[in-house]
Amino acid sequence: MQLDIDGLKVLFPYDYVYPEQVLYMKEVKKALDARGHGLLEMPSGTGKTVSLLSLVLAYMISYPDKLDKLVYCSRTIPEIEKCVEEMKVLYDYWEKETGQPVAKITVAMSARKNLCVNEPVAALRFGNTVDSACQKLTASSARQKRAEDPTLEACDYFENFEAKSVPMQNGVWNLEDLRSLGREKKICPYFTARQAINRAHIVVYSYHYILDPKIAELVSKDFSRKSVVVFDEAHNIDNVCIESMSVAISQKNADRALQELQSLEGVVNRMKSSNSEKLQSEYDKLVEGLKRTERERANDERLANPVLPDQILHEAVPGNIRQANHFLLFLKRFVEYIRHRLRTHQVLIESPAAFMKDILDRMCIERKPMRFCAERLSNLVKTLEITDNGDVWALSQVTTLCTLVSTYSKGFSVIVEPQDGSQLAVITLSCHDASIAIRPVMSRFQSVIITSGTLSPLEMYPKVLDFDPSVIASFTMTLARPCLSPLVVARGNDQVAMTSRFEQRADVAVIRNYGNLVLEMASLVPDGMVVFFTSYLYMENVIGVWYEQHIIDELMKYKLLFIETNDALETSAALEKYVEACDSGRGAVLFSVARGKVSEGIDFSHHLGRCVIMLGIPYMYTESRVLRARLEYLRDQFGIKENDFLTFDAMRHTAQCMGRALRSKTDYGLMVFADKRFSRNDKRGKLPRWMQEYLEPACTNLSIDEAAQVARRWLTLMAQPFEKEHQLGVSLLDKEMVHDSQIMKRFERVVEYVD
Amino acid sequence: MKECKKCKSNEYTNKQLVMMINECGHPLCKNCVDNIFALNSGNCHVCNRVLRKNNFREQIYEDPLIDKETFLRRKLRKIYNLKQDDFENLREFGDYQERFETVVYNLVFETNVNETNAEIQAFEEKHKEQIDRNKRRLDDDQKWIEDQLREERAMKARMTDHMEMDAKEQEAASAVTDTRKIMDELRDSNVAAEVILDRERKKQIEKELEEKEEQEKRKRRNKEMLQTRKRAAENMSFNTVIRVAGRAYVHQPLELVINGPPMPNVSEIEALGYLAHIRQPTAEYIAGGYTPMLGCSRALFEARIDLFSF
Repeated sequence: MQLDIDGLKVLFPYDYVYPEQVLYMKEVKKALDARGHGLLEMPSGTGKTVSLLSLVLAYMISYPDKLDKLVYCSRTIPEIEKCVEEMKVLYDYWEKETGQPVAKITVAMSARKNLCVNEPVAALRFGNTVDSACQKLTASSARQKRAEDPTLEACDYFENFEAKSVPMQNGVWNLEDLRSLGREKKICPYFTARQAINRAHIVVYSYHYILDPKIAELVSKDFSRKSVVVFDEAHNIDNVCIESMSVAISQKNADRALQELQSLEGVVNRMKSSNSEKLQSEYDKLVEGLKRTERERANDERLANPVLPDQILHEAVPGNIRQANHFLLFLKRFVEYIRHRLRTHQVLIESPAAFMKDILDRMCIERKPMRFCAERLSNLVKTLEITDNGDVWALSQVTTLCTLVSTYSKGFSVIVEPQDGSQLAVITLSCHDASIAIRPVMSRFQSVIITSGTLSPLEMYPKVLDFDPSVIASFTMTLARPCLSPLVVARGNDQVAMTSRFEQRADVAVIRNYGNLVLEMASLVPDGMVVFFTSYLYMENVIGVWYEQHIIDELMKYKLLFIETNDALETSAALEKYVEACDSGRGAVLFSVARGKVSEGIDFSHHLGRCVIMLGIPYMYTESRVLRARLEYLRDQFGIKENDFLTFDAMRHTAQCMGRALRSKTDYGLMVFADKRFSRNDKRGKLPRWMQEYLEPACTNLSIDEAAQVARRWLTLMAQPFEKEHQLGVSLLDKEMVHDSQIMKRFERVVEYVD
Repeated sequence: MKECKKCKSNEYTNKQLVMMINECGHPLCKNCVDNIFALNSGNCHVCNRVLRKNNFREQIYEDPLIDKETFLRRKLRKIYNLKQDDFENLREFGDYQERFETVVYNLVFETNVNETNAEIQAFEEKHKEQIDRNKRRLDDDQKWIEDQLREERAMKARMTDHMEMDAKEQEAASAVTDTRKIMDELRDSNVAAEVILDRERKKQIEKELEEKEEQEKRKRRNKEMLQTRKRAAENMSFNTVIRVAGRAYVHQPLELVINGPPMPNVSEIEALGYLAHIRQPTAEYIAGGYTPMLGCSRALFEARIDLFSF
């Protein structure tokens, strides 16, 4: 279907379009026209990805001088692959409509473990083992050695890639396409993709390649300014930013760093006696300050500098750490200092500046060599021809801490937590300010679009990320039938309030009521049902009590029971069986945890999730020192009250959990909020708009019985046949309707702007 | 594990073990130091160097080498205190820093000690003026640290001020009643101002007291409620109502123990001619659902029941 979005001809690859999609495209176009950033919330299952891709592709083809690259960042591999598949459909449609293929390159990019086709290496399966195995074969030093001694092992795929690097052809390259290309032409798919993303017009990869300064510097350095960067499913983006700038070193890692240091010392001494000119040449280079003039080959996976590009010093390495043995002694002192700090008995929170002062007074370690620490280590590792970065893993963590703590003063704090029972002592450099990591992205690229199904309350994100978006909008869902039914269950049949408040959560009456609620819902909801707890610990307690109260036995009469655990393997097995149980018609209940793997990445579409129950409000663990320090920072710097932020975070996770059930407009799902606090306005108002609109005032303070009644009535309504005709004109548009301004006027209310 | 090389006491045998270290970097426990250096000076038990008792310090780091190094470094920094702007370019400053590292390295690992000491002396004499001048000067990074710390302190002070002010304001807002009304009254009424003010003050105090009491009561009530709920929860039966769910009803024919000869079934009653001895039912009876078999079987049942017990 051909759409006209504010004068731009957009080819949309399907015959029907949702009104939200048309409006969404308009907003994206506004942001692109203004060369500004956008913050857009649109319900899951209304086709965000495809509308975004069709608009941006049309924009790039119509105005190649204004926009020449789309960088689409997603969170998981399935999401990346889904996006590329959509792109394929779009390409085919363009070709059908215009008669000629699209002259753009789309490339998906992922880690080595997903792309490697070298059998023995790929068989290692785990990310870091594949990486180090690959580096052993492809590092330039290893290849040099091989030039002298051809019997050494080599990676043919990589050698072929080096020998004849073929430029990527126009078209869509998904991960599997890259792999088969690699097998067919015998070239390395990973490095082909790495090379291709600089030329490609559309790049699809994970957040970390652009947000984490350690990786971004290696991968995404050469992207042009006229790019649009899209962060999809970005409700957690502030946490990703913070994690990429934080580093924690436990006692164990400090000890390991010391061991690594000893082995490094051994290597240096050996080299000194056997191959001293190499060290000498490194030294000469450092003296000249030529550390970067030598063009580094892309395949040499250096240990990257954790500091953002605009903070990197363009000076020579200071004299005190120029010589290898001086540098090692320096590191030894730093590690000893860290170990010394870890031996305390009380918790300590201090600013980076205080940390620097202490280390200067006690150890006479100055700031300048500390700032160059990470850079120097990566140089040394290269000179020593250590191809396996795993050998200096702990040490690189230490240097990361060292460089970060000496570079930034605001927005960070150093937290030392002593040994407590089985928990090891940890020193954490924690970043509180999400804007530090994202600011370079925002300033480097002309448009950044942050989008997700659940971004409410929208006004929090510009504050936390410290940017000024030109478009902020929230979309609701147009529906031909009320296919979501949010219910707030506030009390049990015995009128005892239901709540996960700390004082009452252990109350037997509360737990029994939760049990009765789950039981009641299990008896009337068909197929799959997902129950979210606030934490693993609470889940354990509650299930224990339910077992004693025979609620589990009763539950098993209706549905099979599956439980998410901390173990990823166990959880994926449970999920597999859960799907099997739902498919076979037996129905199942999945107990899982908000903020867990299930709540973030798994979709329970159609019969897999007919009902989602949230038992309590999933607040963060407020006793955590890292969190408390962050809250304090937010309060002092941005004027965000502690409670506001905690509620914001709890509600976005609740919305995320609830959104699992509804993945398209033909889907339907019951959403049960089981906590009396949900009925309060300050909580309810923070839910996404599309959920709020379907939450009727009558359903905000129900008892279990009342909720069951409402649900029973609603489920019979949903079970009626539902055809496309019902949707046309209400929540679905065909070609004529889109161009009919009369009909489009009806949907004005769908989009809401936030100032 | 910490252990004194001299007396072999360790952390387990002596809970209060404190290790001491002197400039040569060979640790000793505090007891040994007190014994050996009772006369204020003595020889190191490892390297035989002459040491003084008051130069002993507590060992802080696990590796005695680090302690020794830090000690040396602190001493040498008083001499090697040149800053970047004492040099013409960065390169020379770098060379100087490297030379300093080499000096420390030599002293720590005790290579070329004599030459190094000579070098230090030469350096001190050569740069005497600069060293004196730099004694109190901070370099850029130190200034940066100081600035950051000062800023932080200022920020903290501002924040606490701010919060105190907020708290005060809140307090004031809660205590102030309707000032406007009092002012009007003061203006319009004939009563003496003191009387009015006294009355208002009294009112205010009473109100505050009331509020306090109310708050306490509320607290007590909440606590009681929680306790009664807890007690009730403990007394409540833990078993939920067992629901009849799931298992479908299966019909099992009723088994009658008649203790007599077996009953003929319905078809047999008809076939064997029992009906001949029964009054034919009228049309009304049949309309009401009565069949002749029913009456017949009832009579037969009554005739047979407990026949065997005689």
